[in-house]
Amino acid sequence: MLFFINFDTQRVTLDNLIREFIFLLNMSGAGTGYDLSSTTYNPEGKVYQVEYAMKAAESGGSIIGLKCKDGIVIGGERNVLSKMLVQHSNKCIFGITKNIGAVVTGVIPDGKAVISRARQEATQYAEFYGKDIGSTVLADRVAQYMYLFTLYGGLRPFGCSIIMAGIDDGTPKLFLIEPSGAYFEYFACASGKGNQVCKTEIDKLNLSELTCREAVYHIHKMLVKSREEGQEKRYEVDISWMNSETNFFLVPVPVEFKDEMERKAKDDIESEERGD
Amino acid sequence: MALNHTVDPIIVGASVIAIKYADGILMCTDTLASFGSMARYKNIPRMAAIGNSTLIGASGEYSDFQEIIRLLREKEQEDFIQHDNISLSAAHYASYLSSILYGKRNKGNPLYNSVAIAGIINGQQYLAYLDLYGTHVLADYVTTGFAAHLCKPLLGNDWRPDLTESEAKQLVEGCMRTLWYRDARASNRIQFAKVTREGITFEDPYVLQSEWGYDSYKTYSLNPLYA
Repeated sequence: MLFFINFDTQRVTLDNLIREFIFLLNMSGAGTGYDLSSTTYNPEGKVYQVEYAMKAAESGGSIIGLKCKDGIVIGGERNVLSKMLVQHSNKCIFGITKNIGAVVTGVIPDGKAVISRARQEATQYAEFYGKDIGSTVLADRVAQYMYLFTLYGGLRPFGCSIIMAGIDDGTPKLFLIEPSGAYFEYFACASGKGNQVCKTEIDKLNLSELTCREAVYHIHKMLVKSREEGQEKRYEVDISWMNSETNFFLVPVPVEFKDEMERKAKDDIESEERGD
Repeated sequence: MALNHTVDPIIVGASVIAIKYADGILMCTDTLASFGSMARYKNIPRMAAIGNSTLIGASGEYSDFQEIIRLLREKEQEDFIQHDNISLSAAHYASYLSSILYGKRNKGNPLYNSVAIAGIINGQQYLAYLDLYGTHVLADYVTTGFAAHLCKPLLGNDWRPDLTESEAKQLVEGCMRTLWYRDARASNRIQFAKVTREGITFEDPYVLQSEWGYDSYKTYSLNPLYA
């Protein structure tokens, strides 16, 4: 067996002792056996497979959710991998019920699997209780589902983060669910590659006075700012909202309005930069 | 075969009438659900909207009607969350429902209803009749239950494709009055709903005018049938 060190035949030399010492020092590092499955903690008390899943989630396009005065807006950007892809296809926002939806970042097929589970939960709940599921309950169930995948050796944690938005009895709700299964309720949140930039931008907003229409502009602005400089990548931005205008159903923001806000956001950023 | 309670309806609604007219489709039911011959629930709706352009009305077992509504609304949500600005039409729902009805009939466990499904598809009126056997037919006017016996001839005489809304309403109200007089399971509390290009509108239920004061009604011996 090539991969096993046979300790019996290893001589106790200074050289070997030093090697052993260095091994012990680094024993919590990657490739030391603690990251082979999510059933094992490393000596620091973390589960590497979960940490890696977080990394996978953070490497996807930025996603943002904003709770506004008059409703709720979620949005995300995704890389357009080829010129030949049909425009507006492969959206990263998914409906779950008529007034709950989610935007996904990270490994998209993982996200789709979670969304499909969320839809199942929602229909099952409606069938059982004769009442639509609330987003608080749904977020909890989806988080539990994702958490399950961090517990078994034969499973791989989901490499995706999910921002879920819904309206429970007229109250807007916003949740961010992470690969670890942890989920929190937010006024505003961001995940994906540019989440740091987005979060600092969110801090500058007055969320209690922000309207959904303004939020569309700000989401575009944050997404442009969070993009890495000098990269000529193609992006598409999806934004959906829920407010009285949409009967409190989650629907995509009208394309003309979205494009107008994108142009405005880009122009404003350009003039800000010229002003500096 | 084992005793099968699903072919023994319990809470039942009577007739549904739906007719095409110039601008859309008019549907009417009474608001009664009977328990045997007892007028058990006098103010329940027997029509429902599925999405923005499909109207469904049913006679027969009320719980089965509720199940049908649940199934169609589930489909409607499934379609809505695609966010693609394309929605299922009345024809899609009718076809889906007829498959369910036929499938369940073949298992000897039918949904005990006669159903009218109405909608506007590409500006055209669509009206279908479905029943517990899985029958699926399109028609200019649909009558279920006792109305199929008492009102089909009336509609056959007076229905025209270019009826105005008020003419259509008058015609259907006449049918409902006939049912109220002659069908012991019918109620005089009726409700209209319509599908037009603008969408679905439900009207408030109201009580039909009727006349029971004729001498032959009051005095048995004056009734020519029994004289």
